[in-house]
Amino acid sequence: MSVNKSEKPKVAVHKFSSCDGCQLALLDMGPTLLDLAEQVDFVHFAEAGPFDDQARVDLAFVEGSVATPEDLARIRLIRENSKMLVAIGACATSGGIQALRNFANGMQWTAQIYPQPEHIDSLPQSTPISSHVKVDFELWGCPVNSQQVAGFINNFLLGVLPRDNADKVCTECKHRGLPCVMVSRGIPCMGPVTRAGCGALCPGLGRDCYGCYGPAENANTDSLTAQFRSLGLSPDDIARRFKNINNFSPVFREAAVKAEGTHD
Amino acid sequence: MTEQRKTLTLKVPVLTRVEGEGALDLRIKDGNIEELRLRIFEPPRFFEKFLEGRHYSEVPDIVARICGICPVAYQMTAVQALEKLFGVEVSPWARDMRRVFYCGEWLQSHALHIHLLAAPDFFGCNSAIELARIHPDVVRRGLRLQELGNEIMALFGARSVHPVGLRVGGFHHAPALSQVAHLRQKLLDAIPEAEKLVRWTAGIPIPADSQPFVSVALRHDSDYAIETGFIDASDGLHVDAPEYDTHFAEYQQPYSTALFSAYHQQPYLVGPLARLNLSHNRLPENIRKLIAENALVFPNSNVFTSMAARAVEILFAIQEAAQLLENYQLPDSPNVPVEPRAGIAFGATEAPRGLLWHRYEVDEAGLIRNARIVPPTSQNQARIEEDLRLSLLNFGLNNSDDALRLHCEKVIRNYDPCISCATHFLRVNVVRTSSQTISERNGWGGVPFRCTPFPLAGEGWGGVNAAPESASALPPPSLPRPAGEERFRKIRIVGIGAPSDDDQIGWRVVDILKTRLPPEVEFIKLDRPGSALIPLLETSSHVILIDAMQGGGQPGDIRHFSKHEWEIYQQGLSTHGLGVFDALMLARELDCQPESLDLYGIEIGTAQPGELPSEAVLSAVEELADRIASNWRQAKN
Repeated sequence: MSVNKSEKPKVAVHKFSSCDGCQLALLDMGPTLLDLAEQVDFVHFAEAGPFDDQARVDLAFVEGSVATPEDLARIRLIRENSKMLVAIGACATSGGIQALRNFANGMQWTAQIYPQPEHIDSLPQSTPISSHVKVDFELWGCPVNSQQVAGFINNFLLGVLPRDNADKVCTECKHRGLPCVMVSRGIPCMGPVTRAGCGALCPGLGRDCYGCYGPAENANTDSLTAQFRSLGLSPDDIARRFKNINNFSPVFREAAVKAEGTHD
Repeated sequence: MTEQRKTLTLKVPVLTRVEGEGALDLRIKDGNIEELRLRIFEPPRFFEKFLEGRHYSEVPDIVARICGICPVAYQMTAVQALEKLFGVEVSPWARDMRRVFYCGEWLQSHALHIHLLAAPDFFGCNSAIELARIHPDVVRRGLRLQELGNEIMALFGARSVHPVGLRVGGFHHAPALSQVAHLRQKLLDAIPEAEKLVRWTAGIPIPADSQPFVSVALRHDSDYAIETGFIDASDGLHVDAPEYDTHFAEYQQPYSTALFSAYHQQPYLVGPLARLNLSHNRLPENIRKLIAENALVFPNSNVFTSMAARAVEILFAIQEAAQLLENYQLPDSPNVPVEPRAGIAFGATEAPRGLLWHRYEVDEAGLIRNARIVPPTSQNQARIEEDLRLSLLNFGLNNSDDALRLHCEKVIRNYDPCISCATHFLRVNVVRTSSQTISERNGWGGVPFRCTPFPLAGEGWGGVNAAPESASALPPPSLPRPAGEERFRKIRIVGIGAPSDDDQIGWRVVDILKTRLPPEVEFIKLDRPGSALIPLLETSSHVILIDAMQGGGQPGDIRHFSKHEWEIYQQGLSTHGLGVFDALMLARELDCQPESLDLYGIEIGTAQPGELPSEAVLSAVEELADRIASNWRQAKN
């Protein structure tokens, strides 16, 4: 990606169905955010102020999943207007926790929550950005952290291919010298199948990883399922672990369906 | 068409969490407000349904995802509701630390709101970035306070967005003494900063705009209520969380996906101003004194006081956290055992934006049967509409469209409806017509495709679902290898480096070669690629890799390894440890090597990260680029 040296690269931050937490990876940078604003030109970043949702940009970050008929048109327009499109966070990369409705009858759910469901316009499924347009890079995590986003922007400014760490949380535990919570204490941990990037936050607090960074590469979910069973988890318990933050990612989705099918 | 007969449509695209994206529609006709609607159209996310069938222990991680700005509020309300039902009494240590944890969220959220969202309005700025040009010290101070709030949350939750430390029964982990001491010092140092912030916000002129409304907030016997207390209203209501339903009711408006909420059929206010209106006399003496010195008065019926109210709560949160951490000791255990019990759980706490209420029905196995969550923004929604009506009349409908728009933005932002109305933008569609119909709104759905798509750069970075025609793109490791002979035709020159230190020599060589070699060569700069080199190698016919090395030679030495030479080279090849070497070995074992592979290393000697490259190294960069370019020309001939 060549960066026009004569002017700062234009950056947009778009939001779809989400909790806004991934945009905080930028807004929570503290004073660094002001330094960053010297390097790039945020032409659209509604939470921070600038609003130009139809601007042509060098780099677009997209948070959130596609969940309404309007979203479909909007994401296509963003793709057309963006030289590089980067999906950030679990909603944008796997459909997010709200993709749980993909397993159920969303229309029924609407009727159970809203007295007048006919006024609620929602697609039957919540889907990742890559289901609809070409995505140049994905930053996984619920939420992504400032290091991931700043690291990406840094590489972008240097014209360097971004790093993509699809290794497992287990490797981060090893790097930190953390004793394995599953081996040493029998806690059912998703770390062996979950993508690195958080820095093993949960095991660092002595608890189980719950998979918020999505599936790692070559995730051996069968083996982990067998391990969970040996720790005494029921098929439903196991299925719920996969059907969590990144439930609609193919790897976790298949693991959940498989676990549910193993009722004795 | 006279000014009096205009039909105005104001639209604000707002971005937020559960209540979400919204718009303001305003129609003025014949000098009267004919219609005023705060429409929220964030797609419903069905959290209450996801919770059904979940184990109680999973609830804190799930409800956090409702809001990235105030996850602690959702987690705290849920765990406290469940603990109450289960008859679990958390330790005094956990009770205090939860209050500190919650103070962190107030601090973070309020500092974000004041500096990034609300204040720019009052200085004629469109964003905090613009405000920072006029008042750099103020904005930097605000961002430091926000950072401090995040640090408090991360102390207990390992991260500030969707923290992972809270559980039913207490915390997963107790922070170390040294970490707490360090943070406490920062809090003490921040107190004078927060005092300055209170003075600064109190000095910002606000419109005179008093309105009658009922304030609703938790109130505690002795403390300023955050995580516990009775639900009180300024008209005298005093009830516990389970009785909420008797006095408050949710209803739907066809134009909004967020449910509205009413107190005895009336709109009401929740949030910092409502809290101060009800509990200002629970604040510590020094804060009350500061309030009085700065001519701030509570209770206050002007919602524009909300920004100053947030500043007061920032000071309170910092002081409170510092005090609770004063005699910090490690607990025997950060949590107590929990046995689930069937029944109905109720919880209420004060989220940064106001009262948050939860209700869970739980079975004997501890699984959630159903859930109901009433967030603060949906409670404020009717009040915002009412406020806009009154405030616009007070402001004067004959003001220009721009002035009306800005005024509406300011009013909406007083409520900090999540981060949303934060957006510094209210799109105005002025429709001057005598027709009674509201003009068609230019919503998302109607966005015309009028931009000509420009082609993606040929040097793209591949893509997650890259279309097959983008053959020049680098396939990420997860993609299957391209079929056919196509994959053998690429010639790639790859510079390897790292942005953090001055390990960018490989990239420099690539930058120079880019200008000298023909376009059929693909130039790639990689940041410590590790195994990601492999797919790149296997899809190329010829590859030249350039990296810095520390092999014990003189700085500026250039070493060349052909495909066969590097195989016998054992170590010390790269500043990136064994990464490149390992990747090459693996590529060989996997039979993923290109036809030809040349590896160039430039010796950087004993240079430390961050040091600028020496003259010798820089001239080696030029020399190597010359060498590669001339080899290329020779090979071509």
